[in-house]
Amino acid sequence: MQAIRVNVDRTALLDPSHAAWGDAPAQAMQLVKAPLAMQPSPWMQGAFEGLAWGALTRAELRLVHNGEALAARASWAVPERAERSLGANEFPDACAVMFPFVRDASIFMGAEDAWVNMWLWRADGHGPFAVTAAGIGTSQRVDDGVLEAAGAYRDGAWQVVWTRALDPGNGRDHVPLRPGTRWQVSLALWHGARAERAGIKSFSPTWTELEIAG
Amino acid sequence: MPVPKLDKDELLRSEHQLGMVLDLNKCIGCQTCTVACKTLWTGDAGQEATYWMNVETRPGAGYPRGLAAPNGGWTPDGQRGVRGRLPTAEDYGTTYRFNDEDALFAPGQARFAPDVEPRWGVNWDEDKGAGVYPNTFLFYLPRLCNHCTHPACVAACPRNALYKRDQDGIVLLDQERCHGYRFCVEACPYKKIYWNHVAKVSQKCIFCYPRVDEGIATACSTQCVGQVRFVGLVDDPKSPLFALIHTWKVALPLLPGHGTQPNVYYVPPTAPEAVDADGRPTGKRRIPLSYLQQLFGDGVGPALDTLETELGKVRRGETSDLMQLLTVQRYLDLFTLPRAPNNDAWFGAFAGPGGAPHHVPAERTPSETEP
Repeated sequence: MQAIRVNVDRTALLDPSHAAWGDAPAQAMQLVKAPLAMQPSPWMQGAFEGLAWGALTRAELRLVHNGEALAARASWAVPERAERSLGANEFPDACAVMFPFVRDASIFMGAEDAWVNMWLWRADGHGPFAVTAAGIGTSQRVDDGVLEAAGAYRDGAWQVVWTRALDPGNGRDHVPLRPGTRWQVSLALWHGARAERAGIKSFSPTWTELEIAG
Repeated sequence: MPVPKLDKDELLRSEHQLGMVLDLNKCIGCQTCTVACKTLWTGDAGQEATYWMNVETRPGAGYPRGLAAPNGGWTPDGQRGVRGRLPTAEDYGTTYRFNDEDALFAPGQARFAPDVEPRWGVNWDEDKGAGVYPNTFLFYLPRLCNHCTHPACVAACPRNALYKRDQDGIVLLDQERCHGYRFCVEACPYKKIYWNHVAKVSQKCIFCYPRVDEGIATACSTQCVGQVRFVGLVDDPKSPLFALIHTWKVALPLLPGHGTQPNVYYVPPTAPEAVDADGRPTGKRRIPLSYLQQLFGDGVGPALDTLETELGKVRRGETSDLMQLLTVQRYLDLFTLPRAPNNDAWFGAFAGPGGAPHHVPAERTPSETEP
């Protein structure tokens, strides 16, 4: 897929209905149910066996940049939106865009020698978080204000935009992304109304090649 | 920097195990323990429904409501996780505020009332109990985290945010590692992990470990008016807990069928005898044995027999080591922590100006388990 260059302010791009998004090529993302076998939780292996989750398998991803900031917009249909996490049984809808720090890092949240970098948005207003991970169960949230995000629910679908400086200058917490290069991206969705969170999600089983326009 | 994953076995291992024995024949449901814990630990926004320590009337709905339903833990063989139900906000109860300002401190006749009509809450069914007059029955059940030996919560967390302390098996939930997934809340059959909806993390009883590290027992235990709770190592043959659990076998775990091997034990309530319509004792137990078996397992019948046998001795003017133990003539005998108490920290808190403590505790001989 391609992240085209647009001449739009980063703040304006935070509006999912900005006209610039109409110009960006859309990438259809096919997601799959995250496998239970990957969960590092002996209790979950028994308790969650045979249960259904990960039914949100289609999303659309668009990326643009303006030379200074990169913006991503994900949209996906979900009939019953979940925006609250007040009750113990309530989980919000959520979405994450993920980039590897090292090309072809494990799609399963990276590994010790090849980390991954996620942008996590939640419908309950907690975050957004940039996240680094070196494998399942190791994710660390980075709350330094570098990442911004906004979501809107319209016509039965969420549209979420994240913006971040292309290269925030902190290569340990934020993977540098440069115009005129090729990199990789993937997506994950959590269906809040079905109590999806953590590894109970749908996600891209493979990296999508990303060309960042010069 | 992502934290390296730890082996689950490492997280579950501990050299010794602290625990508690509560004598339900002495609990009067005064809730002093509940309030001691709540005021010490869980008064923040987001913790309105959080009661690491609560006292329920049983028979009753429990807190949160719905504890009777299949609810987490393990299959009886301890091998497979059993999915629990996440309680709803309604299961914990309505949170509400009273109109203090308007009703009490402003002119006018505003009625002093909550802003939302409460429909359920902690201890809502207090003293309701069960049974038919004249044989109604109830007892109080103080509940806290059981700091289990086979904790489903520790096994559930995919981030290894939960672990047992090496030195004493206290189960702790790392607030930095927690991302609020709440698999632990699902997994705990006792629903003693709570969701903090402001901090967006799960939280649980810490067995007052900062006090324990000073040799001082938990706030709920030391504040207990009825001297209900023994606190000490369940694996120390010299501790009164060991005697009650393993020697006398009168202290029983709660809901043992969930397979988590809890380390909080209960001496079951003997209760008054049932009476007939004319008020004459019938010689039968008032609390149905089947109900107590549901809570404490098959050991409850023999435990009650032992208690009644030993009570009988005392009534006849004989001596009973068990009754001597359970009577607790010296308050400090309740607490046999591995570390001797830092009395300045403990009694100093009760001293008035001038700093003189009101108690001079007797010397404790260290047990073999002291480090």
